[in-house]
Amino acid sequence: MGLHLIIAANSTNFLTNTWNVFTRYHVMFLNAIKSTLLVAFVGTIVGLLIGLIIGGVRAVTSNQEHNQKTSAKIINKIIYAITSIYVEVFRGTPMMVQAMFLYYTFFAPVFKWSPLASAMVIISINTGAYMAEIMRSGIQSVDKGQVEGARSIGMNNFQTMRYIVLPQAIKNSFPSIGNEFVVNIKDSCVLNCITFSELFFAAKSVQGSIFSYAEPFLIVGILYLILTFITSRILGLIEKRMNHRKSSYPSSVTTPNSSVMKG
Amino acid sequence: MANIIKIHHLHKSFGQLEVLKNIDFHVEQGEVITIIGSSGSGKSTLLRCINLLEMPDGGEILYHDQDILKNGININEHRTHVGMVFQSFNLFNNKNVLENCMIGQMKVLKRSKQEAEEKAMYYLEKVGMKEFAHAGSMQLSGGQKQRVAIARALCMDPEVLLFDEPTSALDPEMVGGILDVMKQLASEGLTMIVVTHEMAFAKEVSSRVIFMDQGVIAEEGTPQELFEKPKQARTKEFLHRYRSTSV
Repeated sequence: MGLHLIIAANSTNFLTNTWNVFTRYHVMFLNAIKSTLLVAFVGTIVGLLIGLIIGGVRAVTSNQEHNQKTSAKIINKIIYAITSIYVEVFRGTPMMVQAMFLYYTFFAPVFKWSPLASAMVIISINTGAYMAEIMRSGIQSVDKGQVEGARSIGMNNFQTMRYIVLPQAIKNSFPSIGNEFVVNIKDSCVLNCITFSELFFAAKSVQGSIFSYAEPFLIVGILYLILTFITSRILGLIEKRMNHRKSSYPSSVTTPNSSVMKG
Repeated sequence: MANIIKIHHLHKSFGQLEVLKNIDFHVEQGEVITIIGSSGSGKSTLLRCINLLEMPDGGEILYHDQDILKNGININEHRTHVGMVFQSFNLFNNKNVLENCMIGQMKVLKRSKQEAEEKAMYYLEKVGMKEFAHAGSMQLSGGQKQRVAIARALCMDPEVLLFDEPTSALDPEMVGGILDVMKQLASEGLTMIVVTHEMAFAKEVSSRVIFMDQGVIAEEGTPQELFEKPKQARTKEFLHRYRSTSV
């Protein structure tokens, strides 16, 4: 009985402490939220652009058409190989390692970039590699008949991609694209290693000032949860609206398989 | 009559499978040619070779006496002259009916938005889909989709229109309407090549019928010749089999 009371008293005490830590350092936490969201958002948008280009190129060059000339086939293979190296390297190594290497080797000493600018670049390149695979499978999920329809009225490869395939591929992959944003909100925490002051970095600083781990990390845990929860809800609403538009897709529409998602 | 399309010694293989073996035929201005034959006989492949959705392995395809298989021929431009209507419609899912008919005009033929819209509405009215102009393409029934697909192809002002089994994916009650649209186009003098299983349509509308079997043109002639007095045994067999299964 007595023990329970002590634990109850301690936990009330702990929660009060946590609240006190939050109110005391709230400016720091709120600024960190801004940094985290900024980097996650920029990383997702720029990553998507990289993914559109690289994924589009990969989708086109991975299809060996039988009527191609040999020289075109070789060029395709080389381009595909180069994009594969990019995708494999950035998906196959931890973002923290990429950040440490790129920041301390190039970004800080050579380009004199700030931690914020470097963080944005690193998360963009990293997300781009994932987006490339999402877009590739999104493009390949678009019915081949769509391409034939476009080619049959004289559209060239680029026009077919730009006006017919990519809009559908983006729509098909929207859940995966949104998922990348949520993942980026969380994974941007590894960028604290290049002294970029996002949420995790703020928690570490606070921990250094108050000599206690529990409170600051409970706070950022809750903050991360609030951010990801709200973001997923918003993305869910957008997705719902997209599917209720008048030119909606059938419910059996192919979605990119989950193996390309960041896991 | 001027020959629009002449095909000489056309060959096409998919891997080991030889689908077209030495095809020769020609199409004159204003002709309606129907291609019949059992599945796997190479009908669709032949049609798809004419606008280069399939690349032939050998032979010549002359369009106005110019070989479109030669290097330096603008394939995309060729496709605006030789349109295609598919069995599976292939309407653009991300565009509404009107946009489906406008995008090619604007992006490929570089027509103004206004001109493209006028033309699109003209052809949508012609195929009876004007009131659906702003509907999403996924909301339409099969028959309606095919009408839009025909309008989309006509908007490019093609000289020849290819139909690849245009009614095969439709519910039976939708077939008549599409065939009526095609009959009207034929009566207006549009050159058409139609791969079909609709024998009544072939008999009524076509100026010539081609019967394909195992990658070759087994027999060709006027509908009367081919349907009433087929010369080849395999044509007879095909027509007989067809009559006994369709009724």
